[in-house]
Amino acid sequence: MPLSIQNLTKTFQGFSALDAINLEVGDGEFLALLGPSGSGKTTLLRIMAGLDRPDSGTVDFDGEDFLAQTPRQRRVGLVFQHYALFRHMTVADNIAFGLKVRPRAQRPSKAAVAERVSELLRLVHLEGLEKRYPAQLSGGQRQRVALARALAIQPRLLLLDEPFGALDAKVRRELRRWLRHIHDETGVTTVFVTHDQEEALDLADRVAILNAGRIEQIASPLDLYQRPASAFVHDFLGGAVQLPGQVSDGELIVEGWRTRAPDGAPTGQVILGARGEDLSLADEGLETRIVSVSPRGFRTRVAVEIKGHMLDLDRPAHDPISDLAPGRTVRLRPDPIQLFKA
Amino acid sequence: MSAARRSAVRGAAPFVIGVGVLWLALVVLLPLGMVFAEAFRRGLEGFLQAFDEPDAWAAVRLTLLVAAISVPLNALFGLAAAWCISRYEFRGKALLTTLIDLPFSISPVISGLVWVLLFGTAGWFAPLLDALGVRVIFTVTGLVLATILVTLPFVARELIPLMQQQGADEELAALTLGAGPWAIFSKVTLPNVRWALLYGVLLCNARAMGEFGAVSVVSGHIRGLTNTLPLHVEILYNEYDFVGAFATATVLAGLALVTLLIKSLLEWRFADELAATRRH
Repeated sequence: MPLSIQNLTKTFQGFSALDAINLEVGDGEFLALLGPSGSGKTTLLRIMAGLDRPDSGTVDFDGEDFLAQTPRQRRVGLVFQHYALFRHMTVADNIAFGLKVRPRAQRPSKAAVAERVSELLRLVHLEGLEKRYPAQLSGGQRQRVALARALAIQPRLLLLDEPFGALDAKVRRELRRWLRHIHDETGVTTVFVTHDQEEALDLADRVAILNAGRIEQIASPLDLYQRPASAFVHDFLGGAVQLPGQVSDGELIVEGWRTRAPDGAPTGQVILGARGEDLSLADEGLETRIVSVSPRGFRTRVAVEIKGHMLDLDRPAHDPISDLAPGRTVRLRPDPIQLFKA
Repeated sequence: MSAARRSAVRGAAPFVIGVGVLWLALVVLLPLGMVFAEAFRRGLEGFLQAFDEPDAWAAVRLTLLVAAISVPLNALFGLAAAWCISRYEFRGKALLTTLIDLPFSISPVISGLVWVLLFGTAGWFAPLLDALGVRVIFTVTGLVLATILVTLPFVARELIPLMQQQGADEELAALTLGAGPWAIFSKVTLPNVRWALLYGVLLCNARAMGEFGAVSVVSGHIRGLTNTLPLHVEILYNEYDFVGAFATATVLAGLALVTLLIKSLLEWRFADELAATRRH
């Protein structure tokens, strides 16, 4: 594994930002660090980039001790949430910066720098804008310049800190697709920080879910979805309700509903996690009130309330749930039944 | 904004502008005009007579020398202080910020007197200075010290809010792109604050050349040696050489006007770039 992090710990004035983090990132892998704000994901990224130092633990890259190296020696590309473009430089000068500040012996010739800049401008689809200043660009364009600037130094590792956090939803989705495309083209090992679960699941080969300075689970998006390791992971991926229940003698009791507990379920106090798409109409199940039904062409959004928890169900128009009248109370049964230890 | 409120504001505009112009005319233009009127009361010849004596030229040279030493030092200090305050969290940061403002709030006379109390013949460091054979009070050194103290806040006050608002992200980006400390400072930090730095330096310079109170205390008014322009003006005035005093004062006023002119020219010439770097 090129990037290997062992037992990384960092505290800020008694607050534990990172708590014994272990993480491996494969060559050319696209890893997302996903978690709520304050979960330590940005701190972890800054330590990889060399902008912060951990209290203890190791960070190795290709067998080198990263922590013993300066940011310059690490050759890591970092993209910031608020772009951090050099405001007094043109787009071309921004992209060329990392090449121009190299020690004289390693500095490419002027022609080589210009060649590399236009190559990167093509890659990020900003040909013709090289003479503009950052203030004259849209947010999406700025972030593309920032990415080109980070790629110019041919980083061994590309780090992105909520790169689309400051952009609107449409541009976000566009840039997301485009970032994945660039990653596939360059093959650079990439770590991406986000608090947007959709973004992480869409983009990454694997996702590490952070909570209060600890990694809850590292898995592929599909595995996270199908086999969440904890109630936190299940909840953080969104679109779900969680209800307290009880398992004894192979029987599950949740809010008055009794059913057979799945094999291998924990016993005693449990939490039942039910995603909107796992629910279907049944004779027995969770008591559910239909709050509103909004048809949107092919799809219908049905807002329901399950024991005080609100949930939006996104269903095809022909789904039986889409036909229910608001105000009705029905029974919905989750399949699979996902249980976590309380 | 509602239509009613807008029209109310428009109705008040001529009155407000009128008061502003009148006030400016009264407290700025009138005295400034007086300086020039008095200076030329005995015609051009009388005016030029004031510059016939070597002491006047010595005062001009001394004023420029003191400014040339204190302004760069305070520019360096201002940059370093703004860097510290905007980039690091440390104990006593609020105290440092307050201390930087202190010279604005204490009387310039005190700013001069402290140096006498420290380095004067009866001062704390008098024995040490005697032993070394160094004199501070009644010398150029004293003038420079007093000027530095009085003009200390100007550059720092311009830079601190700007650097705080800009944040450290660009510097961190430069660091990860492989830039060394000097490259980060000269290619990122300095260009980002150059206009604020220039304003600070111009204001600092104007004050350094015009300072009277603090300088008066440490100067000793030795003609041709420790007499700066403002002090020279006072001496001539006290000797009832009114034309000479005002003629010399026009030089000071002229230096101030040139400073303002440079500032306005730069603002006009680089308006686009200013707007671009501020907005971002």
